[in-house]
Formats: sequence, structure tokens, C-alpha cells
Amino acid sequence: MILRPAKDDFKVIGFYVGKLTVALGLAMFIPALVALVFKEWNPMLDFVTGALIAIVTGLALQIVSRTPKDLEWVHGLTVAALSWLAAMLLGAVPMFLSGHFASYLDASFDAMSGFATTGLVLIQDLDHASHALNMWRHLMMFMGGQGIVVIGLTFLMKGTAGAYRMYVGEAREEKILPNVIQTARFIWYVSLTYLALGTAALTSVGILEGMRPVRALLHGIWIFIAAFDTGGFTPQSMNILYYHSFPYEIITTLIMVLGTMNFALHYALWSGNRGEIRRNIEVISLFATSTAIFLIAAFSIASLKIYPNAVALFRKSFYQIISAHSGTGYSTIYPENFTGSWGALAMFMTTLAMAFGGSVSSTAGGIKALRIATFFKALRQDIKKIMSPFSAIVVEKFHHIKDLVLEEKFVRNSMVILAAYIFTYILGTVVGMFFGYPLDKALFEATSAVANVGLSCGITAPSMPAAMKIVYIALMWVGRLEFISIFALAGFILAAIRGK
Amino acid sequence: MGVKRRPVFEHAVNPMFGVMLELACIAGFLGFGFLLSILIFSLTR
Repeated sequence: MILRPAKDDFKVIGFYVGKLTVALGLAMFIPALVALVFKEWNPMLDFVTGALIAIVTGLALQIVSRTPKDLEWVHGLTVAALSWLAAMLLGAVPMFLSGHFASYLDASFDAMSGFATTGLVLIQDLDHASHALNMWRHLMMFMGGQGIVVIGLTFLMKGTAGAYRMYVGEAREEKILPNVIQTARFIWYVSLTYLALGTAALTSVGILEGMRPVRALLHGIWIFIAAFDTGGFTPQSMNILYYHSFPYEIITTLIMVLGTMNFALHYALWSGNRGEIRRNIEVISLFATSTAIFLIAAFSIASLKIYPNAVALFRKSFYQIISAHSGTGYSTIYPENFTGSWGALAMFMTTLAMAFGGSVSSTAGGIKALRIATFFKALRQDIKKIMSPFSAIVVEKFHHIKDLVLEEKFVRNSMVILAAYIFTYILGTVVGMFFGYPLDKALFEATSAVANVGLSCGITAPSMPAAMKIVYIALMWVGRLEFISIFALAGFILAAIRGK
Repeated sequence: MGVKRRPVFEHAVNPMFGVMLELACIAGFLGFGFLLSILIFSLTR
């Protein structure tokens, strides 16, 4: 029998969604400030309007839903799922007011793409967008990558058990430190350290490449944010190709790889455990899959003889594969090149890199390296069992921050998520094919949306059917939250309708 | 006498060491990719 949720269950969810909505509204004052500095009066009004709507909505939700009850598991997970929808709807307000979007749906698509750190865009005339709008687009990636809940945890909430339940709902199952608030703070510590370093490096290169200092600084901040949070937004419609700069490509590759690393791995390395980089199963898995994928893709591309030398081959193929595997979506080729020049095999290998994704507890999407490694470890264990005597106990070990034994429960959890990802990739592909796109393009774009990558082969455009936009929004949302909190939300709704 | 502050994190964190180590490893990976590109390009010509 399913129990119908009580009034207090709705209240506790509404209260915490309200809190996070207020945080979102306060964040909109950052682009408003940028607009003020650069005397962009209309964008400033857009962001003040957006901020007021979000703050009033959040405060109203908190007043209506005030309750002494703390979050239980289902509440925490449901809050995580609903917060991202609320963030999309309210975050889209100033974007729609900017006039760069054909409809509110298009603005919502880009807002979800930003928060989910995907990078697919429907914005029009991006090259003439205001500084404030670009700041908001990249700030959404920063908030989404860090985790909307992590931001809330750091600034607004006490370290309750409920806070941890929301944190898990945001697809961050690992507590790096015993206290969830400390974990959130460490995530900020790493991110802000690299923000300072990465921005300084990109700004310097920008100035040396001939950009004016202020422009180089703004581009440096935005490009860093979208690379480290494996997002993929850029302030120019030609993406990273706009810069035509080898140093810019090298620095963004470094940042993309940093962004795809597990924060627990950052913690191990920053606290002096240098051996972790050699032994960690995720590092080994990422290295193995990215090298294998790059080898096959590069052989295929090189044999087509479209690039004149090895440097061009490296700059085009290695960059796109790392961008795809890390879940960033930065590109140094045109979307049409995937279908028009790269050939079917290289395009499929890029799709595979996107599907695999980065590390767990990072800002990357996709199946994730730990689950890929778990699959192969479990396969090896099964083969060993078959080869061993019936009564033999076969133990499979691996190293991930500490030495661990491969347990049935862990394998089961990993395989459920892995299967859910594969099912969602297929579902997105079927929808694309239903609307008339060929298999390879539909698979590429759907995988890019679900794995929150952002590479496009040309399907994502303002002219695509509205139904496909809605499906892609759902795919990005589901992919970013890794299903569990979506299942919890679905269960909660079901209980509210059919419970007794 | 000042009050002894609680450490922010469980273990002492050295960002300088961590950053240098991480960047060196990733730079090595990029170098490896570049060498593979040269090898693949030579083999396909």
C-alpha cells in the first residue's frame, strides 16, 4: 500500500524549494551589477525584474510552507529535482526579456542547458549579447556545476541530515569529508582557486592574442567557468574556434580535465596523497577509455586526410574527444564537420566518449568512469567465478580513495544507473528519429543532451520542433540529476495521486 | 591567549602542491595525446 503524503510533506518540500529560489534571485544581482558597471540599462532592468520575481516567489513559498519538520530522504530528493525545474523557469525570465530568444520555451531550454552544464543553445545573435546576459549564462553554469543545493548548503543552511539528503539528490553521492557542509566548502575552495588561476591564464593569453584587457578578462572568466564546470557555453557563436589560438585550446583542455576530476580525488591530491593519481580506478578508467576512443577516432580522421599535419590532427581530434569525454562540449570545429568531414566512425567514437562521461562527484555528466570500471570489474569477477571451482569465493578489489571490495550492492546500484543512461540515450534517439533526423545525428544529439555535453551536430536550433525542445530539456534535467531524485519525485507524485 | 581554531578540513590541505601535481599530470596526458597524434599521422601517410 502506498501512503498518501501528508500536508507537512508538501510544506517541507515547498519550504526548501523556496529557500533555494531566494538564493537564485539573489544571484541575479551579480549580472545586474555587471550591467550597471557597463551601463547596460535595459539588461539591468531585465535582471532586477528577474531577481524580484524569484525572491518574491521564494519568500511566498517559505511563508506558505513554514513547518518545523526536517527533510526525510524522499523530501530531500524531491527538493533537488524540483529546485532545478524552478531554477530553469525563473532563470529564464531575464533571458527571455533580453530579446535574444524567440520564445519563453527557448529561454527555458538555454536556462536548463546552463544549469545542467550542457551547453546546447537556442540563443540568437549571441555575438551581440550584453555582458550582463553572458555573465548570467555562465553564472548559471557555475551554479549548476557547483550544484544549486551545494550553494544553498554553503550559504543558507545548517548541517542537518536533511541537507545531506538534498545533496545526494543532486547526484553527489560521495561525501568527501565527514560533514556535508565541509564537503560543500571544499568544493568551493578548489573551484575558486582554479577560478583565479584559470582566469589569469586565459586573460593573459587573450591580451597577447590582441583582445582588449577588459574583454580578455570577461572572456577569461566566462570560458573558465564553462570549462571547469564542464558546461560549454561561450560568449561567441563560433565557440572556441572563434579564438583561433593554440594556447587558448591547451589551457581550456587543462581546465576541462580538471573539471571532470572527482572532488574526492582533488581532496586526496591536495592533502598530499600523490599515489592516488596512479591507483585510483576512475583515473585509470578515464585514461583507458579516452586513449582508446582517441586512437580509433584519430586513425579514422587521419585516414580521410582532411587535416594537413599532426598538429592540426591533435588540435581538432584530441580536443573534441577530450571535450566530449569530459562532458564540456567546447569545440574547435563547426557542428556540420561531425557529419560532413569526420566520417561515421569518428562521429560514433565522439558519441561514445560523450556517453561514457567523466568522474562521479565532479561536474561532468554521462555514465561516469567509476560505473564503466565497475562494469568491467564485475565482468572479470564473473569470468573468474566460472573458471574457479564451485565452492571458491572470488573477491574483486579496487582502489577509489581507499581500497575497496567489489560488493553486489555496489555493482547493482551502478548497473541500474548505467542501464538508465543507456535507456535514456535510446529514448532521446527515438524521439529525434521520430521527428525525421537520421540515426547517427539523432543519437549524437540525444547523447549530448543526456550526458550534459553540449556538442552539436546541427540538430539543436531555434527552428527545431517545440516538442523536441521539451524532450531535450527533460533529458538534460534527468541526466544531470542521475535519475534517483527524478524517480523520487515521480514516486511522490504517484503517492499523492494514488496513495491512501 | 588566542583560542585555537578548529581546522577547516579533516586533513591539512596544500593547494600549491595539489595544483602543481594535477597540472603536471594533465600536461603529461596532453603530451601523450600529442605524441599519439604524430604517430597516427605518420602511419596514415
